[in-house]
Amino acid sequence: MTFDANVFFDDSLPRLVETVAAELGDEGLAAGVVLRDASGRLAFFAGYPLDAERSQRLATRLLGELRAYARTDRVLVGPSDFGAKEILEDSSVLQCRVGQRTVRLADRRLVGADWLRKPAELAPPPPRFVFASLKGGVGRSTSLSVVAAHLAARGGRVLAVDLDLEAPGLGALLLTRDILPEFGTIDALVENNLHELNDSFLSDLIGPSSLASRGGRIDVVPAFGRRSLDNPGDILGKLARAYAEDIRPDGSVATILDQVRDLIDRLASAGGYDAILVDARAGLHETTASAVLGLGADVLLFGLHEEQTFQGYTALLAHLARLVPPGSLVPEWVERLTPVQAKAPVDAIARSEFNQRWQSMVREHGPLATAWVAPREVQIPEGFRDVPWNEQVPDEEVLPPEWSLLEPIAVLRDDRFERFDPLRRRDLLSEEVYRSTFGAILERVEGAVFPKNEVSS
Amino acid sequence: MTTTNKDFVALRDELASWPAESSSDAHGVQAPAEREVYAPATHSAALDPASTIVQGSRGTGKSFWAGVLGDPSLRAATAKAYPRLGLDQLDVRFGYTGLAGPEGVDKEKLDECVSPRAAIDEARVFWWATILRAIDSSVGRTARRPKEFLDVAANIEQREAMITAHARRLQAHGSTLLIVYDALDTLASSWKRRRMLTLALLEVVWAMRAWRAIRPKLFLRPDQLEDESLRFVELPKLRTGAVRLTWSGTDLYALFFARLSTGHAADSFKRLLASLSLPWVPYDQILARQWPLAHDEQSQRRLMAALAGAHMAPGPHGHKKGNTYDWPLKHLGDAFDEVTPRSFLSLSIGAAKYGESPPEDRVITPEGIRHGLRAASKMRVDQLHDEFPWIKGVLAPLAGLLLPCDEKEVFKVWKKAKTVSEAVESAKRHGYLPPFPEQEDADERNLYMALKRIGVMFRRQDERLDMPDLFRVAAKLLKKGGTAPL
Repeated sequence: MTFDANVFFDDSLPRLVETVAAELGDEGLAAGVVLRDASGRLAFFAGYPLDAERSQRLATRLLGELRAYARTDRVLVGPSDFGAKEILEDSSVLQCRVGQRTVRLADRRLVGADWLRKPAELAPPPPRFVFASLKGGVGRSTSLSVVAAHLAARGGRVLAVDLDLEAPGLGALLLTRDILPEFGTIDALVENNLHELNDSFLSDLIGPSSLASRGGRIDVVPAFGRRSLDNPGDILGKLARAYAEDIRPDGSVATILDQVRDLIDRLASAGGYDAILVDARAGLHETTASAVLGLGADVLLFGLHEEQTFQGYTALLAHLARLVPPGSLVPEWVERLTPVQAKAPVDAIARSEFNQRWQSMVREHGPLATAWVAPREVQIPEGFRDVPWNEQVPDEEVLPPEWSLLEPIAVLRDDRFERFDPLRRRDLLSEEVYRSTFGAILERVEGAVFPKNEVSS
Repeated sequence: MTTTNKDFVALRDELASWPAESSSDAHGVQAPAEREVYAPATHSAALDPASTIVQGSRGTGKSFWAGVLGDPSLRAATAKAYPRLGLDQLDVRFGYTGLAGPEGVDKEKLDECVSPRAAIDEARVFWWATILRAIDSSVGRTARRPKEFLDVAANIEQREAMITAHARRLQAHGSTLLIVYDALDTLASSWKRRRMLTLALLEVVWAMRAWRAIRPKLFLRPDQLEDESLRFVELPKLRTGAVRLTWSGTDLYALFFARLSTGHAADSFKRLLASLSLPWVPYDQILARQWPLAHDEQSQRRLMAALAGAHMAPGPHGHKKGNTYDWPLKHLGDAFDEVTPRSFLSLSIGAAKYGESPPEDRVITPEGIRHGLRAASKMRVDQLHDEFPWIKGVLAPLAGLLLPCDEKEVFKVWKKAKTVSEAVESAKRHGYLPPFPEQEDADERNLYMALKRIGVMFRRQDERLDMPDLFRVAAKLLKKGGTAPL
């Protein structure tokens, strides 16, 4: 056995897995659960009792292999030991692929725990769309504004919510200073720590955008309301408190995900809206988790055709893959993820480069990965020239898989929308102008918001 | 007039009754018939007597158009669709059709003239003979065998005198003789001979540009024209001037609706059109494309939504699975992104046959459309199989692969299945062209190249190999006799 001087985070789990598998075999590994504590240290909870000698040997080997990443008090825990039952039966346990093996992992995080939550089921109508991205400047807020204006022009009633507290954009895009509401989402997340939000507070979060015309309506919940802009010195102070966990009256804890979900649910049920559009915070922060996983929404994952996009989304998708139990069908929430190539070239062939790269990434790392199993055998045809057709194969084994996660839609590069200021320059909001750039995304949203079995002409 | 459940049933029955398999010949039993002719605007260039080479993959309508041109009454009907081409001023004769019979010239008649070990001069004489034969029949004599023209064809002076004399006659009448060559993949059963014969024909065709009143027209598969081993200094000009027969999505839907409009359920179709405020027009006007459904995509989409529902799945999230209008077009394309009318119609027929109890207010369902891809996929591979009898044995081992993938993975699968040697042996045993032009080229890489040439596989921009859905489905539908570990 080699005792390398340094063991780092990325090494620790593979080392544990290999060591346990060497001692107990794949079965023993599968029966147990790995606990990773808040600082990252690991312990293995065996699924069945081990005899003293074996237990001693495995514990020694684990300590040697994991070094700083071993939980020194108890690196190996038997099933009847104190607290073991709780871990072994923990429903939040994730399946992780580690090399060729999989292992069950109980991940205890101080921050980022919302990423471990079971993704919310599809929210009841009206349909919700989350505009998410890893970076700013990909045209997320612009797209959202165009979609909102378009839906309103068709007579729709739209609620637009800005969850990007660090880099707010919607308020400035869609509201003028004189119609800015008293409060913003930042206030809602701060105030709810201390008291229940009542209906009058909620209505003070909403400003009507003058972008809506011809019968529709766009209600906007900006990140910062009028009070924030009047007291800019307090904004960072509020920000520091917005993400805090909230203790509910019954004593249970509401994470930021619960709080955001609760806020959106209440706003959604109040207004008689046809669509709810949410601008999520860029990046892989905790608040992004609440928007991506927690709202029961359709999630549009914006990205430019560049290396960072793929690095970031690989991390996100690989994490989401861990939320899919192995051997199970692809869950419904996966169907609600749609990639959007932002600032895409007009040339379809150039766009397909992005699509191909995206598809490879999803196949390798994403939550659909369980649907692909690497082939282990070659099918030898019956005969060579006259191979008969086999009519017995069911359709689902033959026909192409259809996941929106594999089919990026495009928002085209369009300089006219670069410094978008729709309230001042309305000429860009004529349908023939924006349709050519945002057509794919409009079609997707329209399909959900105005579902009818007819094609509009 | 309102559409009733009966109308949907009638349309469904009509669609399901269409023959699932049909391919055309230039003449004979499978020659095109009236009412089958649908004339897309884009095919105008291909039918133009001035376009010498028309290339199209299997199933794009090469033999169909060859047959239409060769039949005076169909030609007259088609002239209405393309009034500027002067099709009614033409006299059309066949130079090669791959079919026996008095009109036809096939491999047998060719072999009679060109000896097994012939050099290219002999082949050229044969092609000149086909031109002289066409002239001979054009002046009203009963068709004779090309063999009888070999002597004149071999003599430059006599040959040119005969051609020039006829060209003058034609010019005096303001008429043009069009000599149509079709089924040129049947020239020979070895690569070497086929190349030699193709090259000789192209040389003769090039020389024919000296006579404006006598125009040869070749319907040729792209892989035969683009064969890199053809060496002829004027070839780039011929290739560049070649017109490609293709079908746009709008053309395919127009063809589909035209068939429904002239079929047995025409009355039901009329009522359906009326309910959508779309006009119904008689066949003549359809042929002349004086119908919004011939070119207006929005009208076509509305009609398709009425036939099949708008989206590929029911419910509020159905739109994410795409719409019923685009889905067939998206999945039926080959590696050149071309959809053939036969594939498109097969899918529709397959959709109409699917499901035990037909829907009350629809002709076909999304599930039916999806299932129809199977029918289209089999049809396409069966068609390719006629020309490339190795196709099924080569496709089948790819069924389990996760495409796209690295070429190494693809080659490994063929190696394990011994596909290359099977292909070589099978071609030898059954006397067909193997996928490899040269014996020493018999390897996995050239097998891929063969599939690439005919639009079955392609290389993506990330260098990995991929296959269109149309053929992936077929690969999975081919029966396996067993498996071998990878």
